Amino acid sequence: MIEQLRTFALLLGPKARGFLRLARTREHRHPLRLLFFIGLGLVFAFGIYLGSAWFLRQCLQVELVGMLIPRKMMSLVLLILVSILLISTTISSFSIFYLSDDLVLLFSTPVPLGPLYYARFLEMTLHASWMVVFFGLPVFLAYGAVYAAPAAYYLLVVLLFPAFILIPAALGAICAAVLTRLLSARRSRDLLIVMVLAGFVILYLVLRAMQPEKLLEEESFGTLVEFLQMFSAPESRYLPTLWMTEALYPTLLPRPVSGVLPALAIWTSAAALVAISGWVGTALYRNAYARAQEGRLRWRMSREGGKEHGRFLGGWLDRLGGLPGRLTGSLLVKDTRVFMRDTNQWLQLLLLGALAAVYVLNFIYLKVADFSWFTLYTVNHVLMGLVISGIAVRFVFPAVSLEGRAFWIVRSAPVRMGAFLHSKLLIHFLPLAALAVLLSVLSCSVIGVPLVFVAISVALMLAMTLGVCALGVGIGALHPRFTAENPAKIPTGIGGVVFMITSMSFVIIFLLASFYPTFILFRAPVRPENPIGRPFWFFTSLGIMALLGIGAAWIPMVLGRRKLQGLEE
Amino acid sequence: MIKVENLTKRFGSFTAVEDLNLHVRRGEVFGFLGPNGAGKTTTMKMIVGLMRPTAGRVRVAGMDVQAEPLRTRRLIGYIPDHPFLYEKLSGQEFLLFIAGVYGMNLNAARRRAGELLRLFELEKWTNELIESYSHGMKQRLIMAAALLHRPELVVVDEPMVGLDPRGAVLVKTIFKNLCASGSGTVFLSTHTLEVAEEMCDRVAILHRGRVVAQGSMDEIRRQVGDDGSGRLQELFLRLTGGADVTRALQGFEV
Repeated sequence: MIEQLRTFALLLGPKARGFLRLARTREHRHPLRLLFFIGLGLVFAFGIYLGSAWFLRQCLQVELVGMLIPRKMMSLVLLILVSILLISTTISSFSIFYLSDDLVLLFSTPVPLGPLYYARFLEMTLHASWMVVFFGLPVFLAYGAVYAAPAAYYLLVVLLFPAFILIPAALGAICAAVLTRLLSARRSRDLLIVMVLAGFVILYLVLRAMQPEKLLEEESFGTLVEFLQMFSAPESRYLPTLWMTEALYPTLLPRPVSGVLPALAIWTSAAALVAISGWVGTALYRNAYARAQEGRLRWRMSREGGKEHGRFLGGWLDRLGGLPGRLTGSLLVKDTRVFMRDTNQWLQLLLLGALAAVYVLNFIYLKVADFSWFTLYTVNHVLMGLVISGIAVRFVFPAVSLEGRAFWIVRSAPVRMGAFLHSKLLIHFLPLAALAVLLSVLSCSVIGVPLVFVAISVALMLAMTLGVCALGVGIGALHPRFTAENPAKIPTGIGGVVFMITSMSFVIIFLLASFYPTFILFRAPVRPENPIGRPFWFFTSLGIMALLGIGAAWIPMVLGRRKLQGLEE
Repeated sequence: MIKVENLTKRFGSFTAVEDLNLHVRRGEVFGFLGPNGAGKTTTMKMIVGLMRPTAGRVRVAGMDVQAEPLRTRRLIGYIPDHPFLYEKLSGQEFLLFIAGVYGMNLNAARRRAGELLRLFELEKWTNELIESYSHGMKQRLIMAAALLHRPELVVVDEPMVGLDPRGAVLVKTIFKNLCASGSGTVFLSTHTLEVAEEMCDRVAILHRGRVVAQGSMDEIRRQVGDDGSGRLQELFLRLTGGADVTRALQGFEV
């Protein structure tokens, strides 16, 4: 037993050291960046705390039913947390138990499976749950603050939360082991991600359609309480969320009731499930890992009898590669294929679609409010600019970094870095410009804008999108991260922050400069004698817009080109 | 084909390559030997134009690599020691991408890619994603990509790493034939001295960033005062501090 514990600690050692040395790695060396993200996280957590506390106080002010809501809300929050934990632990299990690179080494050594399994289990649990805990705990702290809870409440939170997390973690690990044994780790994980993301998008659209902002209005609160009271969270006696609520909530009441039994139920269930997961996991681990390896090796393109499926698309893409200006065509074909074959990448298109739908929906709701169309039209541009910036940070900024370690191919080929960057710009500008035009036309038609202003809006959006894309490609080239394993991590560096600040500033200043000429045109029907207002301001505004547009499209590209030309491996 | 003149590369206070002079003739297989960290890869990257020299210059076919990077790169096929590729492309798609980057005609590129995939025994894997290839298969794919545009000069960093004996024979034959046909020159670095002995017309031995011997096998033997019986391995160890290995082994039990 002691030997097994020693092996368990030994296996966790490299991971723990790696985590402690995180600040020393090149990507995290910048202290300001680290502080920025810690600060941002704390602000969010504090926001959740304040929001929860406000909500609880509002509930307690409503007579009769108000007292019942906090208990239901606690149960609901716990149900949400356990659902998120179940999904995140299952997805992490595929990666940590079956797809990690270091497993090749570990499986070739005489390490017993038990300690290896539990070391991975602990790593997976911490990896999958820290964020849920970080953003979930403020809700329970808010309960403590609003109810002026005794120390026993906080003690119970600290004692019960680890067990509460272990339950979904054990279930997630069992689920991953069985699925990997039947399918392959990679396919199961991708399938699960697709399902979860699709579910998330649907939920997002449904919630948005419910117009939750209306619930914040004073007069709607009573309706909300009634709504929540009617809403019955599944309260089966076998659910750990009920045990948690029954253990925690009574300690908040003026005359606390003992929650020992439900607390014991949580801990014994957690212990039993961890033991069962260990038993199932170790029994399946070696074979499931072998299956995961097969999945990795035989990740074939869809073929049947030597004939490739999707040949139509493949042939179409090949022809694009042969277009005049072949570098752009080749990069376009290559980038499209790589994008569409990476589940983590293309799945984000779903989110993008949902974002566009929600964006247009928002204007349908705003239209009923008492705003002039010109106000909505102006706000629309700011919002669309910020949306384009947000999308660009995820899709355009990583464009150069996504070449990855294979960038030597482009560097050793007879390709000018300027041409390479312009190709990247064109490839990313076209779809983003299409989205910008779509958003612009749809939102303008929802607002009911005259045709000439629709044309102005489209022109503004195209100019702004070009500037944002050039900033993304250029700043992305200035801060390349060719060794980043996960594309989603590329924008999280200091370069991503610089890009966000620069592109948002560009959008806001560009739109401020555009305001005067647009306003003058809006006013033109009532002041036909003076169609351009004050000529100095009119032309200065246009000049600033032109300068900003050219500067954003040119300067970062030149700087990025110089950076790439000067790169040395 | 390659003329390296007083080439120096420093990284801060560390000198990786110092005052290097080389001359590789058109149509020969030139071997670049040296222990780990001798500066071979750094030199090769400067020849290809991936790194800039601190001093000195490199000429390929009479053109300065720094002054005319695009023209010289058209002549070169580079094969690095680590096969980093676009893992989500298939073998054929990768070759067509390379053809696009080199501005080749699509139909001609398709034909040439097919020939090369057959030559490197990858035709069964043509439509498989590169991520499913073994190290040796990736290495063969990079070689196919390097030969796709019919380069005049092939620069290969450790060509035999990851190749099985069959693959190694294949690659050796291809490189020898390339030079024998008069259409190409091969500049290769290797740790495998048998490969150098078997393939290379001339070699240069690099030690701590400096060339310590250069020429054909006979010329190197004369340079180190060998009577003609010594194999390349012995000459290599004599030139690069083999006595240190003997000292390190003294008193060590395996």
